[in-house]
Amino acid sequence: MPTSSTGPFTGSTARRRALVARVSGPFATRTRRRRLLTAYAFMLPSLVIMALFMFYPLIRAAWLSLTNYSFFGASQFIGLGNYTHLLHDPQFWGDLGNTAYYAAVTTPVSVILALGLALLLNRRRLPARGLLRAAIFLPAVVSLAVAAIPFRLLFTPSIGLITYWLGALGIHATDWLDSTTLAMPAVIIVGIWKNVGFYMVIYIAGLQTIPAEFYEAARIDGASTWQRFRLITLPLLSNTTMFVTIISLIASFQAFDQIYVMTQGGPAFSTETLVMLIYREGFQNFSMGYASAIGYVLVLIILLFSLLQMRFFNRRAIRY
Amino acid sequence: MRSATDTPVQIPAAEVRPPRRRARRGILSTGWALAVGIAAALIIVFPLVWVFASSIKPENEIITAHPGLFSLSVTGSNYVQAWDAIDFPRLFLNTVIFAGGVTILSLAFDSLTAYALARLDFPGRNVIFVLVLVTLMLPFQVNLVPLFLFLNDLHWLNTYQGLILPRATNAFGIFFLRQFFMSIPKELEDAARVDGASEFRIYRTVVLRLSVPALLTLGLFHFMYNWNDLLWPLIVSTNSSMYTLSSGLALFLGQHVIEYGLVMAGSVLAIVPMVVAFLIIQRRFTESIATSGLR
Amino acid sequence: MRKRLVAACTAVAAFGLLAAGCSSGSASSGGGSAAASSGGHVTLTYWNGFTGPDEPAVTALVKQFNQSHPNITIKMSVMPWDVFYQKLLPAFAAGTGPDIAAMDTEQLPQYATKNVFLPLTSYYANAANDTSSLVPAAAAASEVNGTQYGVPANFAPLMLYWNKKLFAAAHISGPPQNWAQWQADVVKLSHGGSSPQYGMALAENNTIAMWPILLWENGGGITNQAATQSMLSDPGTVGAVTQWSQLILKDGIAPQNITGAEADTLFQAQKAAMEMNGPWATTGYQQAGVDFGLAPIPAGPKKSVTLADVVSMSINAKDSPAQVSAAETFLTWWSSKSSQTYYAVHTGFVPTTTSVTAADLAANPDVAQFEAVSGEAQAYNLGTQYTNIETNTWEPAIEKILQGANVASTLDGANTQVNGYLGG
Repeated sequence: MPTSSTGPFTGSTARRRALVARVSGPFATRTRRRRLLTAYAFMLPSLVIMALFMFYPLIRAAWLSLTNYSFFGASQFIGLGNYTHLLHDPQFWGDLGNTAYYAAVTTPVSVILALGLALLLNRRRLPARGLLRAAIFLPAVVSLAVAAIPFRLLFTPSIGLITYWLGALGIHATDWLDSTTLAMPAVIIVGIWKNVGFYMVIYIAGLQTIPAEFYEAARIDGASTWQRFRLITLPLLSNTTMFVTIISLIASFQAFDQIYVMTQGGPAFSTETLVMLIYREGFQNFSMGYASAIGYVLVLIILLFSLLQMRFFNRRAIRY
Repeated sequence: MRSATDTPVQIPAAEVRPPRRRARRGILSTGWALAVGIAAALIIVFPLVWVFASSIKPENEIITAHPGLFSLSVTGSNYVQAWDAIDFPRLFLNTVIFAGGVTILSLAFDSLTAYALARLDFPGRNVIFVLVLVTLMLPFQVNLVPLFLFLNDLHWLNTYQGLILPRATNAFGIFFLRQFFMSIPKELEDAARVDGASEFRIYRTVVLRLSVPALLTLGLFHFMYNWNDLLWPLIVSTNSSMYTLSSGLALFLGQHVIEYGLVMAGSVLAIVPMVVAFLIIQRRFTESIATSGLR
Repeated sequence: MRKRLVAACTAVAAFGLLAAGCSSGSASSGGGSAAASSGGHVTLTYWNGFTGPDEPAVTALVKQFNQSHPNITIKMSVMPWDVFYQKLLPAFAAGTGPDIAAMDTEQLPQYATKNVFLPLTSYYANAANDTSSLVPAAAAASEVNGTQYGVPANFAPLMLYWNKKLFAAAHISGPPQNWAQWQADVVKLSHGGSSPQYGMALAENNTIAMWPILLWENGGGITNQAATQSMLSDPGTVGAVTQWSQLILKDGIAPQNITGAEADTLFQAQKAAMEMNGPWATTGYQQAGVDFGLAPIPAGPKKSVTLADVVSMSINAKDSPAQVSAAETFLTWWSSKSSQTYYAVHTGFVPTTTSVTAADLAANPDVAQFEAVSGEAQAYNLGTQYTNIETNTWEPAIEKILQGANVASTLDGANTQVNGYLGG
C-alpha cells in the first residue's frame, strides 16, 4: 500500500543532501545519458516500425495534400489550395457537424454505460458473472462490417424482425435507416453496441487494480456505496477513464464501418462522417490530394481534443 | 497533483450503519444487479443470436414476410456450403498466423515502449508519447495509398511480413500499457533499482509479472482486432489464398445477390474461435489476479 | 511467462519467415514489366468483383480456359467490388495492376481517360475476333468517346418482376403494359398499416439504375446519352420525378430511400408486388417460394426502354504484345457460343453473343425472356463524371425529394451542379 515514506522529500536533511548529490554532478550526467540510451533501446522496435509504416506514409500523405494528385496524369503542387477549398466546402462542414454529433453522443454514453456495467459485473458474489461479461463483450469480438449486416436487416422496414415485433405491438416504427433524422441515431446505437463491452472489460481490469483494503477500510468507517464510488473508485480509475475516454473519442471521430454498411453516408449525406468523406473523395472521386488534406484536418481536430482531455485528466491523475 | 497519500475517505461518525441490515440489503442488491446484468446481456447479444438463428435456417426463411427468431426447419447446409466455398482451413491458418503474429510481436514491442514512457524519465518523453498518440488518430484511409505504394516498393505485397510487420506495434497497446504501468505501485521497482538491477531486469522480473492481466487483456484485443480485420488483408494481398477469414467472408457479399445464409454461417464460423479465446482468457484473468501478490 | 513469450515470439517469427519464403510470395506479375513468359507460356492476372453466386460459374470457365489453352494461364483474383475499386488505381500507379480487369461500364470512362486500359480498336476491327456477333447494346456500353475499351463480361437487361399471388389478391389480371396501368396498379397493390405492403420496390441508392429507366421512358434523363449536358431540369425528367415521387409520398407505393439490396429483400419477402431487376435474382426468388412472372418494363409515354447493365473486361495498357495477344484470346473465348451458353445457364445473365439461341438456353428459361428484351436495352452512361453525378448529385437530390423537398427547385439545383461537373 502506498505510504508517504517513500517520497524523496520527507526524511532527514542528510538523505536530502545525498539525493541532491545524486541528481547533479558528473555521475548524474552519465546516469542521465545512460537513462536516455536505455529508454531509446526499449522503444527502438516500436519506433522503427512506426517511423516506417506510419510516419513515412503520413509524411507522404502530407505531401499529397499539397498537390492535386489523382493517381494519374499531371500532379501539380498547389500549396494550401486543398485546405482553402475545404474551408469553403459545404460538404466538409456538414460532415464535420455529423461527426461532432456522432462523437458527442457515442462517447459519453459508451463510457458511462461501460463503467456502470463494469461495476455491476465486478461484484464478487454475482452468479454467472463470467458468462454475463462474455455476453456483453461479444459484439467487440465480431467484425463491425459483418455485424452491421444483421442490423440493417433487423431495421429494414416491414420485414426486419425488430420493426415486425414493434409493429405487432402497434408501434409503427419504420424508416430508421431511410430517414434523414433517424438514420444517425441508428448508426450511433450500433456504434455504442459494438464498443461498450470492450470498454467495460478495460474498466474491469482497472477496477481490479484497486486494492480491496481500501473498500474494507471505508466500509468499516461506515461509508455508503455512493461515497465509496465517488471517493475511492472514481479517483483511482482516473487513469483508466482517461484512457477509455480518449480511445472512445478517437474511435467516434473515425466512425466508418457500420455507417458504410448500413447507410453509405445517406440518406442525403445525413450520416456521412469526415472519414467517409475522405474515402469518397479519395477512392470514388480519385481526388487523393484533397482527401489527404481532409485527413490532416481530421487528425488535427482529434489531436486537439485528445490533448485537452489529457490535460483535464492529468490534473486529476493518481500517481503512486 | 493529488496523490494517493491523502486519506481517501473522511466519514462523519453519524453515518455509521448497523451490520445486520447491510447483509440483507446485500442479497437484494445482488439480485437487482443480476436482473440488470441479464437484461443488458440479452439486449446486447440479441443481434448475434439472430445471426446464429439465421445461419441454421434455410435461405428462404431468412428473408420472409413473417420473420421469426428461430424456425422449425433447422439445417446445417449453410455451414457445409460456407466451409467449402471459402477453403476454410487455409483461411483459418492465415488468420491465425496473421493475428497471432501481430499479437505476439505487438505485446513485446508495446510493453517495452510503454515501460519506457511510464517509468523512465528522459528528455523528449512527452513528445514521443504525443507522437505515438498521433498514430492512433490517423484515419486508415489517409495512410492507405502511401502505405500500399511503400509496401510495393519493398516487394512486400502478398507476403506475410507485409501483412504482419506494419501492425507489429500499436499506439493503442502502448497507451493501454502505459496507463497500466503507471498505476502499479513503485516500491518494488524502487527496491530493485536501489539494489542496482538494470532497467531491463526490472522490466522483466517485476513489471511484466505484475501486468499479466493487462497483457492478457491487450493480447486478446490485438488478436481479436486483427482476426476481424477485413480491409487490410484485402489490400495487401491479391492472392485469395492469402486472405484471412473476415476477408474471405466478404466474398459472400455478391454485387447483386447476397446469400444471407452463407454470410451468417461464415460469420458464426469466424466468431466461434474468438469467443472460445475470450472465455479462456477470462478465467485466467481472475486466476492471475489471485496469484499476483498484489492484494 | 517471459521465457515462453520469447520462445513463442521466435517461433512465430521463424515460422513467418519460413512461410513467407515458400508461400505464394511473389506478387502478381502484371503491368507489362516482367512479362512472365517462358518459352511462349503467358500468365495473366485477372481481377474482378464476381463474388457471391456468380463466382462458381466464372471460376469454372476460367479453369476450362486454362485447361484448353496450355500456353496461357489466367490467375483470377476475386474481391468485393468496393475493395476492387479501392485497389485498382493504386495498383496501376504502383505498376502492379492486373492484366485483365472487369468493371462496370458506368465506371469505365473514369479509368479509360486515365489511360490505364488499352484501346481495343484493332481488336474490334479484326474479323477473326467475331465481335460483330456481340449483342450491340452490350458492346456499345464499353465505348468511351467513340473508342472501344472493353469486351462484355456479362450483360443484363432489367425486366419487371411481378408477384402473381399479390396481383391475384388485388384482382389485377396481368402485368401492366404502360404507365397508366402501371401507376394505377401500384396504388391498388399498396396498403399501409402495421404490416405494410408496397406496390413496387423502387431503390434509388446503391442499386442498379431503376429511376433512370423511369426518367428515360418519359423522355428525360439525368444527362443526355453522350453525357455532355445535364437533363435534370428537362420537362421529361421533372415530370417523371414528380409523378413517381408523389405516388411514393402520397400513396405509399414504395418505401422512401431504400437500397437495391433492400428492394430485393422486400420483393423476396413478398412485401412488394413489383420490382425492376436483373436476371441474377431469379434463383433466389424461386428458392424463396415467390410465384413471380417476368414482363418487359411497361412502355413509357415517350419511350419503351430498359437498362443494359454491363460489366466489361479491359486490358492493361502496359501489357507486352505477348500478353495482349493472350488476353485477347481469352476475351474471344469468353464471348464464344459455348462459354456464353454455359455462363448464361448457370448464372442467369443474358449471353453477350447473339449466336446463342433460345433453344440453347432451354435449361434456364428465364434467361430467354431477358434476352427477348435486350433490343430495348440502353446503357447508363454518365461519362467520366459518373461518381460526381450519381453519388454526389443525383442520389442526394432524389433522397431529399423523397423526404418531401420541392421537386422543381431540388432538380434545378442538381442540374446546375451537374452542368458544373460536365464543364458547362
